[in-house]
Amino acid sequence: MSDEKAEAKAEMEARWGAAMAAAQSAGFDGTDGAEARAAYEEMLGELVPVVRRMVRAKLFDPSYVEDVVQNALLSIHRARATYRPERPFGPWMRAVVRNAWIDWFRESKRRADREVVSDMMEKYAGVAATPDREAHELSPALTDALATLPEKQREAVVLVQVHGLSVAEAAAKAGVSVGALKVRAHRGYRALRAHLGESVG
Amino acid sequence: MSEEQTQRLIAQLANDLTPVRRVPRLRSVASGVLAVSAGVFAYAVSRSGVRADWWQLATSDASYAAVLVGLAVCGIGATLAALAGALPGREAVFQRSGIAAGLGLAAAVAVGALSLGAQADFGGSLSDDWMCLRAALQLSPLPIAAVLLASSRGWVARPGLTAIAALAGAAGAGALSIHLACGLVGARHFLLGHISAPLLLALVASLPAALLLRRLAR
Repeated sequence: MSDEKAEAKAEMEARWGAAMAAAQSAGFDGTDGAEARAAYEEMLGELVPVVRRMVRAKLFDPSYVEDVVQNALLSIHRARATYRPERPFGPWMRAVVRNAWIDWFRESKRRADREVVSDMMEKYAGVAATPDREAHELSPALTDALATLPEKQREAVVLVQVHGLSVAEAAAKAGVSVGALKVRAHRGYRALRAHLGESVG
Repeated sequence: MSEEQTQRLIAQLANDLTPVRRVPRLRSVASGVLAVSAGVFAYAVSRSGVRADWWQLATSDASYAAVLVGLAVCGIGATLAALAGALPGREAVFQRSGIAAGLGLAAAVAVGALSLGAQADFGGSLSDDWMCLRAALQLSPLPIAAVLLASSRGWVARPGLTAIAALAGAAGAGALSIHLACGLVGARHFLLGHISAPLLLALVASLPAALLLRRLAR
C-alpha cells in the first residue's frame, strides 16, 4: 500500500473512531444526540463497502453477503461499548466483523441441519410441516427413525418439524426454556439425519 | 437480503442509538481482577504462611522452580487472556497471554514429569495430594467470579476459550499460594497436588463457566 493510501485509510479510521466515541455518549453531553446520530449513520454507511469486501473474501455464495453484512453491522452496534477511543478503530472493527461472520457461519450450519431434516421429513412424510399434521401421516421409515430418538429429543423434533410449531411455542409446550428445546431439537436432527441417511444409503 | 435493507438497517440503528458505558481499559480491568487474585493469595499466605526454605528450593529443585514459575505465568497470563478475549481488537494480547499461560503450565508439567523418579520423593501420600488440590480449588471461586464478571462486560466472542482461561488463571493463583506454603517436596506431589489445579478446573468446569459467561454477557 502506498504512503498516500495508508494515510487516507488512517485518516478515515480516525474519523470513524471519533464518530463511534461520540455515539457512545450520544445524548450524555447535554445535546439531544442528533449530531452524534448523524455522524454514526454516516460512519455505518461508510463501513458497509469495507465490511462487504471482507465478507465477500470469505463467502463462496454471494447471495448471503448482505445477510452477513447486516449481521456485522448489528454486531458493531451491539459491541460499541467495547471500543476505546485511544485504540485504533480498524482492528476493533475487523475483529467484530470477523466474529459476526463466525457466528453467522455457525448459525447457518445449524440452519442447514434443520433444513436437511425438514427436507427429509417432507420426503418421508410426503408433505411439508404444517401446524395440523398428524403423526399417522408419517412414513414407517420416519416413524421408526423417530422411535430411535430419546424421548426428549423426539418430543422436540415432533413439535417443531411434525406439528410445525415455532421454537418458542414448542418450548412452552414441552415446559422447557427456548435454549433447552433448541439443544434437544438440534441433537435430535443430528441423530435423525444419521439414522435416515443410513437407511437411505 | 438486499442492499436497500442494509441502508434501512443503518438508519434504524442510528435512530435507536442510546448512550453506553464504555468498558474500562484492559490495563485497569486487569489490575482490578489481579488485585482480587492477589488478595486471595495474600489471605491464603497469611493463614498458612510460606515455607521457610522456598527460595532455597526454588533455586535448587528444578520441579519446584518450574511449578512455581508455571503457576505464576499461568495465573497472570490466563487471567489477561480471559479479559482480552472479551475486547475486540485485543486478539494479540489474548493470543500471547494464552500461549504464555499454556507454555508455562506445559513446561511445569514436563519438568515435573522428567523429575519423577530422578529425585528422592518426600511428597507424601495421595491424600496429601488431594488435600493440596482441594485447598487450591477452594481459593478459586472469588477470582473466577471476578474474571467472569469483568469479561462479561465486554464482547465475548469465544466463550469456551475465555472460560478456560478464566478458570486456569484463577486456579493458578490459588495453587501458587499452596505451592509456596506446602511443606512437602516431590515431583509427584507438585504434579498431582499443585499444578493439576488449573488443569483440572479448566477441564471440568469450562462448559458451565462458558454457559454462565454467555448468560452474563447478554
